[in-house]
Formats: sequence, structure tokens, C-alpha cells
Amino acid sequence: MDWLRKVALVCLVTFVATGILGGFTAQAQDKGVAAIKKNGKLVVGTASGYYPFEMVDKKNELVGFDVDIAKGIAREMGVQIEFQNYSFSGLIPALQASKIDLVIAGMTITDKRKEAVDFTDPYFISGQALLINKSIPNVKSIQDLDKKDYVIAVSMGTTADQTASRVFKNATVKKFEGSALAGLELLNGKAQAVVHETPWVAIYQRMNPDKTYAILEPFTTEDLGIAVPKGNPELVTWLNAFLKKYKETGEYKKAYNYWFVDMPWWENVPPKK
Amino acid sequence: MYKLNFAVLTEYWPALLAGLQMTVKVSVLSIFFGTLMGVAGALAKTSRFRALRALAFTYVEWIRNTPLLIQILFIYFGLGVFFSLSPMVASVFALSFFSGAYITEIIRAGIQSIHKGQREAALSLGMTEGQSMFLVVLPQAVRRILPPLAGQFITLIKDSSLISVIAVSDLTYVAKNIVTTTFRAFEVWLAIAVFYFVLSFALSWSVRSLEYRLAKSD
Repeated sequence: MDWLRKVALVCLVTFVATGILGGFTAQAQDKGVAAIKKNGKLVVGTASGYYPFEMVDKKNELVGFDVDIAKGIAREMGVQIEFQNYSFSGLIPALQASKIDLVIAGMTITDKRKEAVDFTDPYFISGQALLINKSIPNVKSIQDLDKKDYVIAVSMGTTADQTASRVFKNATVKKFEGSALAGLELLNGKAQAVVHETPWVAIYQRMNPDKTYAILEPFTTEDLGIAVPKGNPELVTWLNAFLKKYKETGEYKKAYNYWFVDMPWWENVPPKK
Repeated sequence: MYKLNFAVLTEYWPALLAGLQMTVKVSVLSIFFGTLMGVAGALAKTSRFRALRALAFTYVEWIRNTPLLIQILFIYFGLGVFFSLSPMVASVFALSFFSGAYITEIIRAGIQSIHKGQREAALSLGMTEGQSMFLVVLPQAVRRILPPLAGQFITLIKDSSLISVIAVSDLTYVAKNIVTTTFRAFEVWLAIAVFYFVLSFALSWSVRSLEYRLAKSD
């Protein structure tokens, strides 16, 4: 039985090592503005696919309302910008693991998230809406969709996920890596509805008018914020000041009109990405 | 400041167990069907008929040279455009089809490693081709291929984690869910790795005992 003893020994050593490492709580990374400027680069985490905040255009470049804000931040700091595209559910772990400096991905400020990361003041107010497959006509409310055989698709880890899981008692909520796959599930008829925020629902519906319709009135209110690692109040203050300036100089309004109202980007962004 | 908190595991224990059950279920089904496909494939590859050999060859080469993730996405979302497959069915189908190709090669090598004399002796005793294969050659081949076969089964258990992307509530899917609600990436993923380790190790241990018992007949 000596191989069993060897296995037990290996396991013991592994757990002890983990325990010792765990004893050192991770040093608060100095990720303040000075550190970023010293690095010469702002690493921004985002999750492409939330129209029109972050999307990939035909030239395979990241564009969107959030992307513009991030670029503005880097410009103001005087550093280069690097985007890292994660699945939405991987963003906060990436921030915790110091892979990125901040997250700007249409992320709602929630109390639970505030335990893990810090947020700036809200830069956008949104709310959850419903995208419905035309095979289920005349849906007027959530109750119409809350049936036992129905499937509601959401993007894993988003507030849509949390809201849907809370609100639908009979229907099944299926979580996918990214709203693109959730949308695909709807288009293939395997899901009856997708819960996501109004801007995404409106645009996705416009991309797929033959198969979907939408109920755009939001049934929640969501404050979107920029997330930074915990323990960096200086960075939060800097970003809040930036956001204030962004609004006061009219940059915000310009960007808002471009991405949400006039939408001249429409031709350049292929659907379902 | 990341403070370790393993208590989150006890809080979500029922969900983790349910995910483990699903992983075991999908793995067992896929091992079963994959082995059936592997036997069929190996027989096709060693058959007299050129058409069967070509078919098996195409099957094996296609599957072995494309990533499993792509196969899963193709079967569920791609084919899903034309006909509806539930996530469970799509997963088992994809995993069986995938492992079937590798098992085909393993069994084929096993068959071909048995001396031609065995088949000839069986035929000269009056057995049919089929009887010689299933009563004489394959039983001997099985003992030889148990190690690589076990390896393939273990790979399958680990590869089954990919079905989480089509929202099957397996261990990995449950884990992702827990991480997104608790943000305890370190504790959860460590625990999941241990779960998969225990599963795979248990399987490889059983196969080793099987090998030992079969070897005693020497």
C-alpha cells in the first residue's frame, strides 16, 4: 500500500502549501494612477458583445460607448491603452488577479460586487428588458413567460442572470458565456426569451427582426459603473473626476448620440458579435 | 486584500454534488456509446470492404483533427439551426462521437496486435469470421488495450467540462455559477480540480484492478 501513502503525502503537502500561501493575504496591489502612468499602459478589461457599449467591428477592432470612455481615460492619463476581452463572468476574477487595471463593460454596480471590487459613480443608467422569440406572440409581461416549459437565456454572471434567476419561478434560466450565445439559443428556438439590458435588446432585435420582438420598458434600474481593484480610493476619485469632466465638456453627449441615437456605426458592425 | 474563505464550498455543497452527478452521468453515457462507436469503427477499419475502411478513416481523421470545443459548438448551435437537440443529447452525442474516434484507433491497434494465427486457427476450427473476431481475437485484444483505453476514458471525464458552454449543469457550469455570485475564484476552482481528480483517479484505479485481475489468467 505504499503508493497510497505517497498519494496521501502529496495531497498533504499540497494542502499545507496552499494554507501557508493563503496566510499571506494578497498584498494590496498598487494600482493607483501613478502606477499606471509608470507602466505607460492602461489595461482595460471588457466583454465584447454588449451592444453598443463594446462590440467588434468588421475590421475586428473593439468599438463602442465604453471603448470610447476607456480611450478617453488613457488619453487623459497620457498612457497607451490595451484592451483584454474576457467573458463577462471572468472580468471580476481578472481584476482580482491583477490582470487588468479596470473594468468597463456595462457592469452594474451591485452590493455583492462591491464586496469584491470598488466602483466609480454611475456613468449610465440602464435596466433589464426582454427579447422574445416570435413563436410566442403577444407576450406583455414576465408572467406570460414564466411557464414551466419555457427557457430564458442569459449571459452568465450579469445582473440579467441574477434578475432572471430571481424573477422566473417556473421557467428554466439557462446561462451562457456571453450574450451572443444566449441570443443564438433564442434564434434557434431553444430559448423563448433573453433577458438583457435595453440597449442590447433594442439593437439585437433590430438585427433579427424576422425572428424576434422586444419589450423595451425596463423592469429594473441599473447603474453602470467602472470597476477597479479594491483598496484604490485614489483611482476611484481620479476616475470620478474624469467622468464629471467627460460629461461637462460635452464628450459624453457626443458619444451618446453617436452610439445610441444616430448610430452611424451600424453598417460596420456585423450582427451577433 | 483577498482573504481565503473555503466556507463558500459548504454553502454550495448541494449544487456542487448535483453538478458532479451530471458530470458522472454524461461521462458514463459517453464512455458507453463511445466504446460502441469505437468497436464499430475498429471493425470497419479492419474489414475487407474498402468502403467501410474509407468511411472509418474519414470519421477518425475528421474528429481527431478538430477541437472538441468546436465539435460541441457545431453540434449544438450549428446543427441546432436545422434540427433541435437538447443540450444533454448534444453533449453525449458530441462526447461519444469524439471519444469513439480515438477508441477506434486504440481497438484497431489492439486487434492488429493479436497474431494472425489466432484468427486462422479459429477459422480452421470451423468458426465464422464473426465468431473468430468476437470469441477469440477481441477478448485477447481487450487486455492489451486496457491501459490506453483507461487513458481515453479519463480524458473524456476531463473533456466533459466543455459541455458547460452549452449550459449543461455539469460540475464546471455549477462552479462558474458559484464564482460569478461569490467571486471566490481560487477556492472554487481548486475544489473543482479536486473533484475531477477524484473522479479520474477512481476510474484509473478501477481499470488498474481490472488489468491486474485479467493478468492473473496468464
